[in-house]
Amino acid sequence: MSSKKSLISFFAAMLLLYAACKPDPSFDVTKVTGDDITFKIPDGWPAPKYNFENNTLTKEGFYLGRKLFYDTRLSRDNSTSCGSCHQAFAAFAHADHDLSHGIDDLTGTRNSPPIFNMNWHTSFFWDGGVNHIESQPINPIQNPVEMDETLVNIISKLSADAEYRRMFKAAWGDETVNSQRIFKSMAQFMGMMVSANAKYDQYMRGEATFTSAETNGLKVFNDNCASCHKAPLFTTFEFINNGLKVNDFNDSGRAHITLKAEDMRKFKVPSLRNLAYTQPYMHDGRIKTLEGVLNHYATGIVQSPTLDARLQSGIQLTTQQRSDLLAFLNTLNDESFTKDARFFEPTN
Amino acid sequence: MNRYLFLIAILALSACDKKPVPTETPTQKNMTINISHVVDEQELLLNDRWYTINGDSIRFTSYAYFISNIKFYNAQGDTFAEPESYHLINQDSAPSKTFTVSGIPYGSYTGVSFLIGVDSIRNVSGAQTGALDPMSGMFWDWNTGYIMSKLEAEYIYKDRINPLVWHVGGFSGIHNPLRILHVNLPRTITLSDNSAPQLYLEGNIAEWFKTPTLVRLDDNTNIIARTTLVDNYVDMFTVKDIK
Repeated sequence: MSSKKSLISFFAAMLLLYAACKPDPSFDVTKVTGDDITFKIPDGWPAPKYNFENNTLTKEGFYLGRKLFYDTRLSRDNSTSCGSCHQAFAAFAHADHDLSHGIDDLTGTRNSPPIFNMNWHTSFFWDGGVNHIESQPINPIQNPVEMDETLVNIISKLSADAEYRRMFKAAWGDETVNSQRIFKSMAQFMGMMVSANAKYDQYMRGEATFTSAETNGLKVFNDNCASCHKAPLFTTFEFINNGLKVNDFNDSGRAHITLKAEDMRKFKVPSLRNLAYTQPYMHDGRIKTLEGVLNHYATGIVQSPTLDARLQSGIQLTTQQRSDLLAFLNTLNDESFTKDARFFEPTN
Repeated sequence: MNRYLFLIAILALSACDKKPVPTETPTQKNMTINISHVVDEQELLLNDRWYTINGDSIRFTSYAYFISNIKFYNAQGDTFAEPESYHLINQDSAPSKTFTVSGIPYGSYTGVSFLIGVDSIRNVSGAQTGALDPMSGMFWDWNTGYIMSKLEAEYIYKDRINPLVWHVGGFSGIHNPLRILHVNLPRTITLSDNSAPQLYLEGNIAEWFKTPTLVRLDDNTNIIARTTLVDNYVDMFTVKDIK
């Protein structure tokens, strides 16, 4: 072989090797680094409402929060943890469950929401009853159909565990276990859950190109959905009545908190990110597929005094528009978030 | 002549500013506050005797409230504000009814004020500890915020024993139940080298049921507006003693 040919072969081989080993740009594993516990605001995003004020983000606080998140001892009979209904592979929603079964297989009345980009949320739960991320975990802990445990008991269980004492000391300075440290640690864990690496985000960063269906879908989205599901968080966090029929749960939604008639049947607009992982949909999980959601908006809307003005005539799309819209919504799924090992259940 | 002018100048300058009394001075004192509860003329006992209020029979089973943002005033109108001022007073817990406010600057104090409840900022600031630990139960988890005051009882109506549950929460809007109580001291409390003052406050639980609004115990008692209750109890404290 001539030296020129072998050189070409060499470079060809290198190119092949490079192409084979180059990471799939649609699947970014760079987040799977055990030591990277720093909160970054994605480019172009608005400022988060919560940025760990009075709760300095540390590795120790984050990993303590993770251990607590997955610890079934936070429930009365040590059976149920946060992770039981908030699963990493489902963007921290409860895969395939309209309602979750908590302790003793009891069910509640609302769908477990996913957990991502929480630092931007202005309130928590479908009715916005919780006003601060650190004030959220006490709810499932004390709820009799979820974990049904008391803070007094949890503190007793954790204080008796040498590993927890060590982790509390590492994160908070001494071995004292109290509710404030528990909730701040969990807020560090959950606050770190940022989902900003979907194809849409890469497209916005100039790192990926949309297909024509996705481009058309973005237009359909902007014309019909964006006022409630505003980018980049894909929600405005407002409470709206989107015309769902009242069922036996008779859930008054936001009105349960504000006691105002004008808030009747209003629920917090959910993000449209990660829909591939978080079905079924709506505050009680009653719609199983995205096709079903589009059907609802086309012909299923029920009139009521608090139905949102923007939905009075529903959302009417052609078959082509539907197809394009679904292609666009698919670009909001962030697979790397569901594979981020920092948020997985610890193995030790 | 110059000497007198100099003295006058000094006096004039020192009389000028009304500024908050600094909390960090070399001369500071603690004051202990002791709280006791009565039902008009009688001592309050839980799960014990029946009392008569406005002609109705009632027996108290639970009574707790937050006192916060304690401030002491001197005759010049200067104030000392207790830092991190949060106390959970629980009739069931004798130790909770005595607490010490420390670091009060020397001086003569004529008034004290405090909030019944937890100020609105602490209700939106996430996980709290100490007196504000939600472990106390004085906290609504589903609608984030503290239960400012809680009164539970049984009362006789239509020949039956009826439960009374008043949980006063919320911290904003037109139904805001937060109230600042001002208590005038019957005599000046002077903090100096020699004194270790004790202030004895008496809270009359019967005031929840009257002045300005008479509250009868009937079918509607449990749903009475919380602002009615707080506007009644805003004057429930008097000074029983100063030692």
